[in-house]
Amino acid sequence: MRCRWIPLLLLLGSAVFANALTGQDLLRTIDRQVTFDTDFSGEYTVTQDRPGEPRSVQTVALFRRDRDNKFTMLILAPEIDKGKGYLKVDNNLWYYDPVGRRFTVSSAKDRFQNSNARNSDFTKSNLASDYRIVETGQTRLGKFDTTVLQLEATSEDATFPRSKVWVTSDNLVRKTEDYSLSGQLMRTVAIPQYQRVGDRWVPVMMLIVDNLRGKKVDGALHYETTTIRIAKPNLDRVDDIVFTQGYLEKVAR
Amino acid sequence: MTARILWFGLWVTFVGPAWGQTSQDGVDDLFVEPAPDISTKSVGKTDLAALNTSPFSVAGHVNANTGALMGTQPVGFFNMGTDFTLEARPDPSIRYHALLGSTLANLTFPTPSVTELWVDYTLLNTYLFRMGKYTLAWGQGRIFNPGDLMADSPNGVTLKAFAPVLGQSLTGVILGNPGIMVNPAVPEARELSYAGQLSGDVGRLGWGVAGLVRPGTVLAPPERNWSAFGKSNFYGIDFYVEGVVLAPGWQPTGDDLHYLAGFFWEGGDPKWQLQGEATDTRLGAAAKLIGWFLTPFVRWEQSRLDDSGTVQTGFTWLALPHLTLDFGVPWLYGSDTSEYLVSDTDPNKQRLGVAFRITLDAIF
Repeated sequence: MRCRWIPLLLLLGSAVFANALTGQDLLRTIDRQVTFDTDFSGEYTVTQDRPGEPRSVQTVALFRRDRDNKFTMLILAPEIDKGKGYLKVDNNLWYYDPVGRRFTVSSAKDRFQNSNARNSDFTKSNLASDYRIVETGQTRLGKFDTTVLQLEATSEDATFPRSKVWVTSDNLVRKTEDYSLSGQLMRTVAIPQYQRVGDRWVPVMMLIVDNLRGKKVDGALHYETTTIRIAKPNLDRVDDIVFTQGYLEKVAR
Repeated sequence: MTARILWFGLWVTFVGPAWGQTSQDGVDDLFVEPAPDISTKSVGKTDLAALNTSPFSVAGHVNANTGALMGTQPVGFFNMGTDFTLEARPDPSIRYHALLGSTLANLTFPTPSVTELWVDYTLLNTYLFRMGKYTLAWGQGRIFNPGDLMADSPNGVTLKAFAPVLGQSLTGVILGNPGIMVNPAVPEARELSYAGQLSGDVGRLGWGVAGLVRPGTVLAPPERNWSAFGKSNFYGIDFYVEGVVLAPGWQPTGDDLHYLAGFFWEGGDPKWQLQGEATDTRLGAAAKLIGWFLTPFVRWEQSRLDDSGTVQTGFTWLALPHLTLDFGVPWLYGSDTSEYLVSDTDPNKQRLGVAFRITLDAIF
């Protein structure tokens, strides 16, 4: 009698296990869409809008070598920030300030140059290694039919403890909401348009709304926003030396 | 069945809206009529050469400050310094840099002296060379830095070569200090220091080994200095340890061995910086808040040899463009002959005071 339940339990167990695999596989597929086998470089224009304050714009050169988990970012403009740079090798991220001529350990979770972007917004996507899916659903996001994934961090390296992502059928993330552990919405990211480079994708534009930083202007609450536009995407090989601290020192003004 | 309907009703009422909640910030409007995804060929490229070239330029910097230390014997001060940076990068392989500075002394400005003068040369876009007069710093310490084998670099001329090797960084240095040469016009090989450093990362571990050898002469004391460090990051905190040998010979004694252990954390919004360090002779800790209209700080150092030390607390305020106000309360403790009292720059050796400084700083 008891034996009759065993196949059923096995079937149920394997179904649960298969579902978990499917979840991580889905995250891996999403990661793969925006992760390059070759080197990648591009120019990122980071526009920071704070309510009631003048707009600030920074131009950044980004060099990625995803297969080795490396990237280098160099600030090209404005002149006062020129020469500042970031180098990431594996899990180590350094910030180089040419004035102090010193490398400071930074974190992928930190804000990029006090904007609403995080350093992790410039690296390859790590959803599969940093999160697990706890809930899924289907919803419409404007023109897109999307799958909504509720994610929970499984790694200390995750930038946010909880996230909710809207994914289209081509496995591209169109929108993200990032939450604190207590469920506070911290920021919202929209990627309405992608550009295909080789057989992978990078956003044309990302809008980041900081739901923690805002100001009332004329009685209405306006959040700080950061817009990132990506131009000159390129897959040519980048010299090895670009991914070294020596190179940041060399380029620094 | 009734329970299920009730449950569904509750879900629709409370959970449903949260799940499908549209942002109140207009984000979702971007998806109503989004531009279609596009296919981009690698037409443009970030110009690495442009990053490494620039016409000849001259920049100036002036810093003037005045203030006082109010204690049992109040003392005021005024300092002013100005410097000029000359820079040229005619092509990506060459960079020329000079820093000429002049500091007010006895109410006159002496002829500017060369603070830095160096040339960079990049060979085959892989090997970097820098030769000239400049400050090079090794070692992991932020408060104390016993592992800085390049501490003599500001006093002389340095040739540095750098190359990436198997994903790690290899640096070689030859350093000459004319102050300890018999005839600086004709340096002898035994008067020069020869140093190397190999550093890199393995997973979460940053590591490095370094050594400096100066054979030595009558004027140039022989040196056999070595260091090794490891550092890593846990929960966003940078931890590091470094072992250092500073010895005149190949067989170091116990007194030649030194160590450094420390941590550094930076985070929050506005940003906090917290750090602490211990060496075989000193302890220290510091905290600072940056990104706020005031930059408050506290810093503590203590000698482990005679228990003297200092605590400094205060704040920096960028009151107006180019104008900074510093306010601090420095406290010195220990006997009159102790390390921190003897090395204090205040001629009156005041143990407790209130200090303020107004600084005008501009780049042009």
